[in-house]
Amino acid sequence: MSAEKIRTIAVFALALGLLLAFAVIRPLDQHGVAETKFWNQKFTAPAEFDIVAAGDSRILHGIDGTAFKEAGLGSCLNFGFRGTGLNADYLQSAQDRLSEQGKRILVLGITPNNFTPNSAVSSGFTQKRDDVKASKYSAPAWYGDIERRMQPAKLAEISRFARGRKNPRQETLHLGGWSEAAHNKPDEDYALRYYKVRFDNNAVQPQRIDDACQFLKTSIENGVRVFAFKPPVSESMTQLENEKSGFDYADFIDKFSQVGGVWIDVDAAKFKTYDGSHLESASAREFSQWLAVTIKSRVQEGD
Amino acid sequence: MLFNSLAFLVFAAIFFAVWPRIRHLLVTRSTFIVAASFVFYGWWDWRFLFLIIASGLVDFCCALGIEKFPKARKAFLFLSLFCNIGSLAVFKYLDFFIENLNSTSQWISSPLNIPAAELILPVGISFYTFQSMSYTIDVYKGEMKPTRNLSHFFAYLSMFPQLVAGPIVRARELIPALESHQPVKQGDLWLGLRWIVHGYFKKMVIADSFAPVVASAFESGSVAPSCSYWWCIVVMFAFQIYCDFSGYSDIARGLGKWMGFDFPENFNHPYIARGFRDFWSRWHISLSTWFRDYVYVPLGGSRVSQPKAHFNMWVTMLISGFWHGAAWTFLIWGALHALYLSVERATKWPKKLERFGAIGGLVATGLTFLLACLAWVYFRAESFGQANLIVAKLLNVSQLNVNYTMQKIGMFQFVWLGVAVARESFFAIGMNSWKAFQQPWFENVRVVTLALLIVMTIIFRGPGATFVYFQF
Repeated sequence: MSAEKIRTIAVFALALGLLLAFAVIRPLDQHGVAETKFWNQKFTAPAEFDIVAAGDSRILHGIDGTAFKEAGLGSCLNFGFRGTGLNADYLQSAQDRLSEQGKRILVLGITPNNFTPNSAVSSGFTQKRDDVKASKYSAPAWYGDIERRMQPAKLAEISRFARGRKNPRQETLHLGGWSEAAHNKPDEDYALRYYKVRFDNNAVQPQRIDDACQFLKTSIENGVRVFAFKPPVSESMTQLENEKSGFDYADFIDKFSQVGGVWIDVDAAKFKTYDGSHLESASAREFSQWLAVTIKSRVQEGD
Repeated sequence: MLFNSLAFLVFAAIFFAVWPRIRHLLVTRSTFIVAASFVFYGWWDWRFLFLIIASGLVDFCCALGIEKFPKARKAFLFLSLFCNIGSLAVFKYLDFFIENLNSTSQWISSPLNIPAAELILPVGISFYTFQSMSYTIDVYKGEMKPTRNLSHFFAYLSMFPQLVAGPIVRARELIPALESHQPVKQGDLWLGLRWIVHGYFKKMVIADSFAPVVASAFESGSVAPSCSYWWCIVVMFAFQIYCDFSGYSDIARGLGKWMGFDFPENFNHPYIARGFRDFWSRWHISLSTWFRDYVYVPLGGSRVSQPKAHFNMWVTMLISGFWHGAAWTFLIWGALHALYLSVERATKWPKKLERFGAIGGLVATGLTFLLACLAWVYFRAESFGQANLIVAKLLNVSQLNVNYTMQKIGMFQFVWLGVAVARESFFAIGMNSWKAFQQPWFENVRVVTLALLIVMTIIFRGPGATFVYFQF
């Protein structure tokens, strides 16, 4: 065998060995179903849900759909995506997951981010949809951990790996669309640094609110019951969003109610976030249970 | 089929398992190349194959016609150019012309409102039509004899490593190689592997890590209020497009080497260029030389009066800009480079700076890079208006807003930017020619380096997918 053939084989053998070693010792910070299966389900599962919970990452991490089933309301899909805007495209996709024969309840988590220009152009929703279309998300559920071990690494992960530390944030993906997030070092001010610049040149546009309400009006006329609420966040986050986003909850509630939507007031102080913006695991469960019971009673009242 | 896809890895494994067994059979191997290349190309959309087959058949027949009917050679050349430029005009530029016709008609108050054709742009059409055209032009100019073997011709036209994004290979170089036995050369396997591994690293780690940050900046719908942010984005785009495209070229050249063919070098560290004449001798070399040989020189080149030479260069650069895309922003990018070249020709500023030694050379490199970055803004921007706003932000140093930049761009991107800059600096200071790197023992170091690069490519791959230049 020639020297260059030996060298070539050596390159691949060494690379394979290093890759396997890295995959084996790599600490995972995500658990549960395979990420591929998780996102794929949101787009391709049959439209058989009674309830669809829609919104950005505060919904993605904050709503455990099983609570709705336990409350006797029926099956629930968490259709949350990071950074998504509530435009007609997204709302239509959420609504399409509702069963024609089911209770047809749409639950919206309203955040200022939902109505910014950036959220409409590029969001977790559009990215994941493109990925699913490109068949990126087609791996079977059992592939979960293998897939995670071959996922691209982030700088923070490498840095922690080098220092022998685990990620304080652990995520568990559930079929049904809930991404459960637990944090052993919660910091209520952590997300503020990102939100300080999030609305720079990216303030809420009133037209986007009007467009969303117009869409919801049609949905309600077609028999969909629409509930909305403000996902619990820290007080400093609420203050920052009020100052920087240009979003007025009172004005939104007014418009939303006029088109027939039902607004649910949430006592944010009862629930804990791990970063000021997203509910931590136990609080997300409690919140989901509270929300399910509240919606059930409102449904029974005839709202 | 993308080079950075699992499908391609399987495809390449099958191809190179068969290749050594048939590489000595001239017609069989050409037929095999054509079949494999059609699978590779048809993977996107099998309907695109009809266009490349039709375009190829026209050029194959026209070249034979030029040789057989000397009196009608001009007609055959015209037919070939008409079909090639015609297909480009229809698939690539039709909607641009319709849009501008509609705008102009609206402006003169008699709106036409012609609906857009919205045809799908076949992948790599600009590359293979140029490659095909060069064949008939070379036959017309008497620089080569036409091939009578259809499989050799289509193997040249559709050879999968360089089919969709170059390097644009000249028929007079590749067809003779296809028509003769190419012995396996010592070192081809190793050199090909080095190019391929480096190409994948550049594409999947550096370019793909920058891709989402750059896309989010340009596609956000508003212009971020920070000078430092835009400089970072523009520099990242400069390296994204360079690593993406040169990465593709490296993989293509490496695969070519494994097949026993030599594809020309397409990039020679353009960001260490001193001046724009130097830049264009290092950037997308196969296209630059194509335009030089088939546009600039036939127009008269530089062997004419100074104003005419400038005019020829402007025409060439504007066509080059328009080749990249059907939008005014690409024309402006071409015009900016023409302006840079004109100023350089008139003032000879890089030579003047070089008189100050290494510092002067460094200033020349820095200035060339910054001006190239400004031009990249027009290349990448969604519209002329957006590009102007971004340039205004770049020049507004009073609005540095570093905090905004640090929030919006991840630390990993800065790490890869550092790697990309360090990589170019390695060549800028001539480290690649150090004796140590030429020693036989260094090949063992390369084994470890290449293995690490493969591991890094897999572990640190970015989220981008397709190659930027496919759209051209």
